[in-house]
Amino acid sequence: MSEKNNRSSAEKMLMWAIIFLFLAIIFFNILRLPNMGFFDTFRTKYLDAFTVMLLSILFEAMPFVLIGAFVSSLIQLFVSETFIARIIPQNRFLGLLAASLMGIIFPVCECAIVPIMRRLTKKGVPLHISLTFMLAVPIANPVVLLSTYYAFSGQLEIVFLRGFFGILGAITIGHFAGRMAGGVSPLKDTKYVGDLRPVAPVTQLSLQMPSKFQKIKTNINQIIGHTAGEFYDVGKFLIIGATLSAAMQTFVPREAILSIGSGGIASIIVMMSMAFVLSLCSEADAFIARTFLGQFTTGSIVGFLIYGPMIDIKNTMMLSGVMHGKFLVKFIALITGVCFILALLVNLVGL
Amino acid sequence: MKLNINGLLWFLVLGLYTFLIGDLMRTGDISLYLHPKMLIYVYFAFVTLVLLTLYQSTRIFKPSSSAKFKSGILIFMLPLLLAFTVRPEGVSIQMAENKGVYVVGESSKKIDLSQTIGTSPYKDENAPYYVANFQNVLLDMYFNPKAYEGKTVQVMGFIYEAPEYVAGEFMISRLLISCCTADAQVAGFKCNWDALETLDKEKWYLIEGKVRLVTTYNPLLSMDETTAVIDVVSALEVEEPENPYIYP
Repeated sequence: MSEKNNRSSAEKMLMWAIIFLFLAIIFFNILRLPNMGFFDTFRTKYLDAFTVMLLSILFEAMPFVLIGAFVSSLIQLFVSETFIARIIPQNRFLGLLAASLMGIIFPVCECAIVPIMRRLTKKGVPLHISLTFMLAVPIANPVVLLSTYYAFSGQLEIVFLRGFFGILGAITIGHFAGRMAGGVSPLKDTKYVGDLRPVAPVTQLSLQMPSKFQKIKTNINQIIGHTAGEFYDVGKFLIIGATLSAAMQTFVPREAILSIGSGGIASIIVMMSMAFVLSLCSEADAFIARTFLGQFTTGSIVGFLIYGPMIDIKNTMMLSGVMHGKFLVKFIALITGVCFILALLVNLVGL
Repeated sequence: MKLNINGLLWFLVLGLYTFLIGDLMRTGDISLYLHPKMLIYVYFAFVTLVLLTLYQSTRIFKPSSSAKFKSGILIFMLPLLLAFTVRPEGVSIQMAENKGVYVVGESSKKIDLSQTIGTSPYKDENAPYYVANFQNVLLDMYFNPKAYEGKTVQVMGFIYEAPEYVAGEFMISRLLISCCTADAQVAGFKCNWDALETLDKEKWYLIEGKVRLVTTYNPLLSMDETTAVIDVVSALEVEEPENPYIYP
């Protein structure tokens, strides 16, 4: 008993030390006090580059993670399991197709989709449908396809290839991943930890509330509390992912990846690796893909454009907070395999 | 009332993110990180963070179900620490090089000429044309090089030398931001000048030169391509502009 107390008090001391240091450093800098050149010693070209990269990925993704967290809490509060069970088509293929086309009415990119996918699955949406939904929406939506059209200066075939193979890939992967899970949910149980989440379940609360005003107040509280909890859950993995991606981009020169080659198969490997490492938003990635037109095969460009929104470093980290590791590894392997085959197909047909 | 450590820390983290984003928007430094079109999303994030911070402030003293320290909060602290201590001044050319180079005068896929942006900007045939809209002229010259043949142009940007360039070849360029600085690319006009060595690679220049067309064979497309190269006659050192980026 006393040992346990000792340990927890040591832990507490360490924690306070960290907090104190953290605050001291930040307030030092907020107040623009002279820092005697202490931090400048660490300032190098690499640290600058790394920081810009990390923060820009973060600032770009954060609003979308917040949107995702917000939508997820709306689903949690206002969409019932029975409603979901009623609207999902009984036919497996129809269900998959409908899920893959959801992006048309629900255009969000890949940062926002992870918390939404998790919430939908928890609400009873079959796994193959929620996974297809997660993979297809960041590709087959008007915002992304328009930016692709713009980036490729109106080359409609690239837009078409991206949309078509994105949907085809998402359906294929969703179907097989659903089979792979075999009825057992691969999602982690999220126990609402600490005080980041509302304590009482929604149903209980809504039963108890007599006045309309109080009900609205509780609802708002629930939504905010839920959004905060979701932001914490997904945000920490987003930061790890952004850190890894920024580090790779700062320290691994592009030539290292490009040196794999530009042949039919090598180019696909190169472009898919680039998509994974760069962790770009699906709204922006077409502008990067464009720079490779003429240097790499069309199939590899399509591979880049469909693989990146489905999975990359940032999303792998976010999913690792949601799915069990073993399933996640198989799932990523499946995504990689299917996207590779589709890209190869484009090259073989010679588009 | 007992202090809830996790609650307090999470409050601090949310508050500092709110402050950071608010401060970047106030000073306009957010444009070092993001394309202006993304600003609306940042506003949304700011408002949401304010709400989350306010909500969390009511929970600092709420008793916690577990006293265990939540290490996830430490992860949220890392970007804050970097943001407040490093204070970067923007993306460097070296970083952008890792992304891709978008250049007039390099082989790329043939694009339908009907897609060209506007017509040739010349009024007076002999006066040098100052390229004020870097992006549009870059695209125009890329799609429609013939309209520029033999013209004298002035372009401002930094010097960029691709690894495969031979002596005297360089690009007068800007950084192109599509969404966030993580996707910055070098974009520029291909140039040629014998006195290139006299220029400082870290500085910005206003160059003047004559546009010449070159036709090369692109094996990947198995066809000839015509691209523009600027034969530079003079270069003037200039101040780096307030916002060095260009946005498509």
